[in-house]
This record gives sequence, structure tokens and C-alpha cells, in this order.
Amino acid sequence: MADLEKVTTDSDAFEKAVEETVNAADQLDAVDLNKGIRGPKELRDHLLQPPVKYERLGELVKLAKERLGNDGAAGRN
Amino acid sequence: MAPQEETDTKKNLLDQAEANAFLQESKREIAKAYPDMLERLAPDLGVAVDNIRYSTWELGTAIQEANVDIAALLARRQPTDGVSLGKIAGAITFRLARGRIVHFRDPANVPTTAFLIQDLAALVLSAERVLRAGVHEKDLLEVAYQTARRHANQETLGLCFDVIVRDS
Repeated sequence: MADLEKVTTDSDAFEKAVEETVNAADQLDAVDLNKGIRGPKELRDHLLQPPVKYERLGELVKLAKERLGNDGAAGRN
Repeated sequence: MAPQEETDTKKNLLDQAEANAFLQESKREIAKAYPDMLERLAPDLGVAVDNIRYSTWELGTAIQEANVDIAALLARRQPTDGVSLGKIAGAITFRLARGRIVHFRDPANVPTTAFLIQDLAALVLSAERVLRAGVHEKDLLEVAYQTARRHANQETLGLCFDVIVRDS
């Protein structure tokens, strides 16, 4: 279990958490991914670009708290 | 397909070594981005960062399961055309939302809405890293509702994302 505060303030803890996560992923080999992942290079290039930061995070959380915070709350429509 | 076209298409496909490198890098990118996403969401949800723990095991398995979903999509559909970004976002959002990833050190003392953090982290991470489009928060909220409160699998979420991106 990673301690978020440590992970976000201590680079060693961050690297350790990343390694633990990748190792956990590596231990699962439910299918042979090599057979299926022959996708186009454009897709890979798109997915490995730097992220586009979502600027309206505060507004999203505010709406989510209002509308999803109570069981039974309806969606937008 | 004409021979020249076929050659061009093959040149444009990832070979096995490239595919492996891509998968490894994808895993690492999400593993690195996840704590940052939790840290960004925590203040608006009223949760102290030092109250949050996350399971690296659960996160790692969720990432790997998303990769399996994406590989299956690529195998079932035309690998040369790829898979729509919405479907990839659907697989990642679903897996990151379903794992038992985020925990609170003191769950009795968090706001009632704090438990939305994992759903929102899954959603925003997909929006930022996969869709990369200016998706309106009300559209994201609609998907958040499906993820948090209804029964949507990765394909259904993928269709929702496809429509949202098309209409954005």
C-alpha cells in the first residue's frame, strides 16, 4: 500500500510505488498480448504524448459532489 | 488491397518489439500519473492527502487488465485501422474505477463524497491521456454517473466516450 503523501513528496517513495505497480502488472499474463497489439503507430504515438491537462477539475468535482454524492441522485438528463 | 498499399500498411504497424515497448511505457506512464491525479483531486473533495493510501497491486492489475482489453480490441477489429480513442478510454476508465485501489487511513473522518475520488481519477486520467479533447464536465459527469452508480462495462463506456468526443 502506498502512502500518497509520501509518494507525492518523496521521489524515492514515488519511484518505489511506480516500480511496485509495474511489477504487479507484469505478474499478470492472462493472455499473450504480443498477438493482439499490432496496432498502428499513430495510435501508440497519440497515447504516449504528454497529457492535455483538464483545466476545469474544480468544476467537475463540484458537480460530481452535487449530483453523485447521494445515492439515487440522477445524472444530467 | 493493392500490393503497394499493403506494404505501406505493414510499415505503419508496430512490430513485436515496438508493441512490447509501448505496453511497458503505457504501464509506467499511468503508474506515474496516478498519484498526481489523486493529489489534484483531494483538496476539492475535502480529503487530506495524508489520509489517502493506494494499493500498488490493485493499480498494477487494473492497468494490466486495461492493456488486455485494448489488445483484445486490436485483435478483434482491424488492427491496421486501430481502435477508436473512446474505446481505449472506456477500457482504462472501467478498470481503474473497478479495482480496489484507493483507501483512506481514517475512513470515518472523510466527507461522504470522498469515495468519488477513484471514479473521478479514472475518468480525468482517461480524458487527459487518451481523449485529449476539451470534453465538457457535464458530459464527463454523465459517464461518471454510469461508472459510479450504474452497470456499464468497458465497451459501453467506450461508446459513450466515442459519442462525447464526436460531439465535442
